[in-house]
Amino acid sequence: MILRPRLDDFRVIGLYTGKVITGIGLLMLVPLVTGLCFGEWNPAVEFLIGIGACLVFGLGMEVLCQTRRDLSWSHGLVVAGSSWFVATVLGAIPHWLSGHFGSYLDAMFDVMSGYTTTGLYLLQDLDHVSYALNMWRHLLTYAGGQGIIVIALAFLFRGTAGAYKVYAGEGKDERLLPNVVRTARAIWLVSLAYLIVGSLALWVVGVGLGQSPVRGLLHAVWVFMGGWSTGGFAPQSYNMVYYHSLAYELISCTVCILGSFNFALHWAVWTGDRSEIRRNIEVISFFTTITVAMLIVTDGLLQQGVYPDSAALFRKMFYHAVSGHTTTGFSTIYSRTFVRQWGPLAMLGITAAMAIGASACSTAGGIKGIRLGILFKALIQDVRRMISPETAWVVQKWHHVTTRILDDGAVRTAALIVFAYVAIYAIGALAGVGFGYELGDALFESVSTGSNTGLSCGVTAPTMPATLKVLYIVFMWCGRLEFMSLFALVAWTAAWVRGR
Amino acid sequence: MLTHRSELLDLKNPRNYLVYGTGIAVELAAIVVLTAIGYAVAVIGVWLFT
Repeated sequence: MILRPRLDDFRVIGLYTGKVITGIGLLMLVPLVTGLCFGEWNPAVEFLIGIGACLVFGLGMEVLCQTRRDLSWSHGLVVAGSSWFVATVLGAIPHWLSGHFGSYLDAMFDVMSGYTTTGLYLLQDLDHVSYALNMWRHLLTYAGGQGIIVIALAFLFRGTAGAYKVYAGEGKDERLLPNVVRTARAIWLVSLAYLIVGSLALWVVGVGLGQSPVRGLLHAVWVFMGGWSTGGFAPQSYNMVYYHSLAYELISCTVCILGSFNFALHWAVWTGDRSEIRRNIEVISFFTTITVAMLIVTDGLLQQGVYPDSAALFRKMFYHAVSGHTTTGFSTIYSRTFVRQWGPLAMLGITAAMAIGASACSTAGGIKGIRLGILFKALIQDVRRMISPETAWVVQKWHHVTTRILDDGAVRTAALIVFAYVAIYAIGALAGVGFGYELGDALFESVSTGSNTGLSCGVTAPTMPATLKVLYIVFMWCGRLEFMSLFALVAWTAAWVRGR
Repeated sequence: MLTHRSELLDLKNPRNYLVYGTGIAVELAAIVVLTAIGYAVAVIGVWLFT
């Protein structure tokens, strides 16, 4: 039984939620400066209003909720869950004021899609959006990829003992360094280093394609942010089709794969443990399942005879298998092409890739390779146990940064999370069918939202039913936080309402 | 080479930039190799079964 929260519990949660929202307000300074640099006065005012709202809420909570009490595990989970919701409501202010959205719900949909690195959007007339708003869209997804709690930890929190509990509540439980604040800074160090290298490479290609240096730089930074965060936002409505460039595709693909790696893996390699790349259970799992997905998609495309030559077929297949499996959502085809030309088998291959997703403690979503790896190891262990003498003690090991012995607790946790993901995929598909969409389309879109991928076969549009928009917002939220924070938030609210 | 040490966070230490560069180069090389293997398996697999 969960005890009814007391005033002091609200203070702790309010204090830390306030810190996170203050961080979001400070983050809006970047699009504000972008707007001012390009003489976009109206967007600049819209961001000033957004900053004001975030700072009033954030600093107000910090003043009202003064407490010396540290966070408990339940507080950490509730702070993580509630921060993402408040950040979505307040982060949508500049979106809504831009006039590019049909409703505030649509604006919230896009902001949640950004934070959760999903990449689906309901924004209208993307090709005429201000630089400031485009910067905010991509910054949202870049920040969301690292985790908005991680931002607050890196720059606003002092090293409290409870900080780790909020960090874990955001679906990240790796400690790159013993201190969680330093861990958050290490995550940002890796992300910023790659931001410089990746953006530079994309900028060179963009300028080579004929973009002006300034426009090329903005596109490079935005595409990098969309790829690294496995968000899939792009500055143009044609997404990656806009660039028509093999070099742009190869670089963006590489960025997606890098972004989908566990930050602990990056840190291990950077600190000298290079063998980690070939030993890590997530890397092995990822490259096994993506190879199978590529086989399925290629066979599906061959059956349909869509592409005239094998080079074009493999180029499209490879890009979308990587985009889907890393849960990025970049695309070099139009949304309806999945349904009209790719056919059911290729769509199934991409759906499966999206459902599995990439690594835990990365910017990616989905079930995650580590869980599939653990379940596969558990299956092997059971088979070995069955064929071994009764007295034999069968030990199964798995490697992720350190080599560990597989125990029932790890298997149980992995199975529960896999079950939760499969449940939201199924519920989303049923809801889609209930609203009149074809089963294949509804499943594709449901998996895309639940796994925070963002590839669309055309279901997500401003004209879709409002209930489905709300459901997708919840799925994106659940998928990104890996359920536990939301379950804690619901249980905590229920305990408060029930009064015990 | 540094091993899991927080000194890597020190941006004022020029040696750290060499570590970042080496880390990025190793990861990029690994992606190229692993992607090439996956791609080749997909091509050969489809060629065998069709």
